[in-house]
Amino acid sequence: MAKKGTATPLGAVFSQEETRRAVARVAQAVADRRAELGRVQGFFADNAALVSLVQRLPDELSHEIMVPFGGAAFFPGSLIHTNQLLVLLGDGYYADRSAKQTTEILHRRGMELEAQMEAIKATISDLEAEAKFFESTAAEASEGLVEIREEYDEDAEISSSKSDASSSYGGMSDKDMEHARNMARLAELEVEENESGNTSEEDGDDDDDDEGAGTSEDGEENGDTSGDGSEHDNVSFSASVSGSAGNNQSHGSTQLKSALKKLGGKDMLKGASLAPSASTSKINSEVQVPFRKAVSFKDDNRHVVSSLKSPSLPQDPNYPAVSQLTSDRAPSRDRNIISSRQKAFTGSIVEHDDSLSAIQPPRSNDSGKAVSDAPSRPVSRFKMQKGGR
Amino acid sequence: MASSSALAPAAVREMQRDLESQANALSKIQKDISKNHEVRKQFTIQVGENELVLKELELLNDGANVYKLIGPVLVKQDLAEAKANVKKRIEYISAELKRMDRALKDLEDKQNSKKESIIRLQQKMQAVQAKA
Repeated sequence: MAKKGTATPLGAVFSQEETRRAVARVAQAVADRRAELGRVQGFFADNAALVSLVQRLPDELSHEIMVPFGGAAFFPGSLIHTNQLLVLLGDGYYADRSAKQTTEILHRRGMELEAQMEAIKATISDLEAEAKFFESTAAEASEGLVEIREEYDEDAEISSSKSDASSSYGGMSDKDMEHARNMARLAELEVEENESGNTSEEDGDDDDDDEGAGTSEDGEENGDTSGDGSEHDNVSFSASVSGSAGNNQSHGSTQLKSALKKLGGKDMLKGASLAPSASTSKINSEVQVPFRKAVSFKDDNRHVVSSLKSPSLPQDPNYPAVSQLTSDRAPSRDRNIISSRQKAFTGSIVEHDDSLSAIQPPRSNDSGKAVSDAPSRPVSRFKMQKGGR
Repeated sequence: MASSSALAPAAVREMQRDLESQANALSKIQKDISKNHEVRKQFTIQVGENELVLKELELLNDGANVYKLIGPVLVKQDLAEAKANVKKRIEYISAELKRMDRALKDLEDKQNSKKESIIRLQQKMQAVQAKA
């Protein structure tokens, strides 16, 4: 399960100055196109005016006009042969045409101009999209986004997903044991929590967690811009809740898996080789997930460790029921978005996703994600729920 | 140590000269490329205009009077002749455009290789300087 990946801060790849220059260059190109568009629009207007003039000319046999003489003088004169026009076709070619034929030519020319305008407009919108991309890249880089790359190793992925599956359907005894241990751990935690009341300690821990995990997660969602913070909170919240809900067995197993996945993803991100611990968790996977999550926010990212030390089990039933309701509602919306996002990033995540989805589609993804950055807000709500119970 | 430090500046100077000449060559190529772009733009416009003319000429009926502006005077031309002329002109310009495309590709290849060699030179220079 030990995965190798690279996490590169976007800021290192694109220097601020360079991105700014790129933006400026694209902006310049857009300005050029706009000028061109203005020019063509001017032609179009001229053409329309000419059409109306040519249409009116043959209305009279002759027109009294002031004929320009040199640049500065005019003398009176009259236009005759008002239905005979010598039309410039372009490139030095002229043709004798009647007014009606001339308007036809002019109309065709107008169509040509319109096509040109459309083309220029399309180019402008393309360029603007490009500029937006540069800008968002610059913003992301300045915010310290991280790009995470990981080689997709098909064999490894397959084997890991297989192990997941086997563990989930695996021997009951293992499961039971694990379940019991998890429950015990949960109980322990609850006691602790009750004792500490509205401890601020957890919040503090969570914040720490956020910083560490938060960055990496940003990287994962590379495509996203800054506005993610709130979303993350939602997600993570849902995750923690669902974790507690895990008593329901089937539900629990899915979650477990997701947690596992999450774990794996996290490991990769951190570059740490948590391989052994991860595998353990897999074996125990079904029941364990909930715990791990609960633990995770408390222990500040040391899920692995915490999950391992799980004592005697307590009063899950009512506890889970409450939390489950919430978990079902809140997260589901975000889930889809997230899952699609995640898919784009790492092969490993995607695979987990699939295997999970078979059992219980959207939730798994979500919860998995949530674990990584259990934030402060989710925790507090979690607590509130517990208190309500 | 003293001898190597005395050697290094000479080598660096040589490299700098080399780099300068390479950079000049590169900027010349880039100028050529931009000139090529300019000319090509003009040709493209001309092709468009000629195609427009040809379309209009096709629409004229056989008896129509067609004139060609040659210098300051309008010279009457046969319609068929005018059409043939325009067609030939379009062909010529299209061939020219193709030729320019090839030239542009050549120039870009040259540009890339020049860029690479410049980068290599810079790296070498840095290495030498770091040693010295």
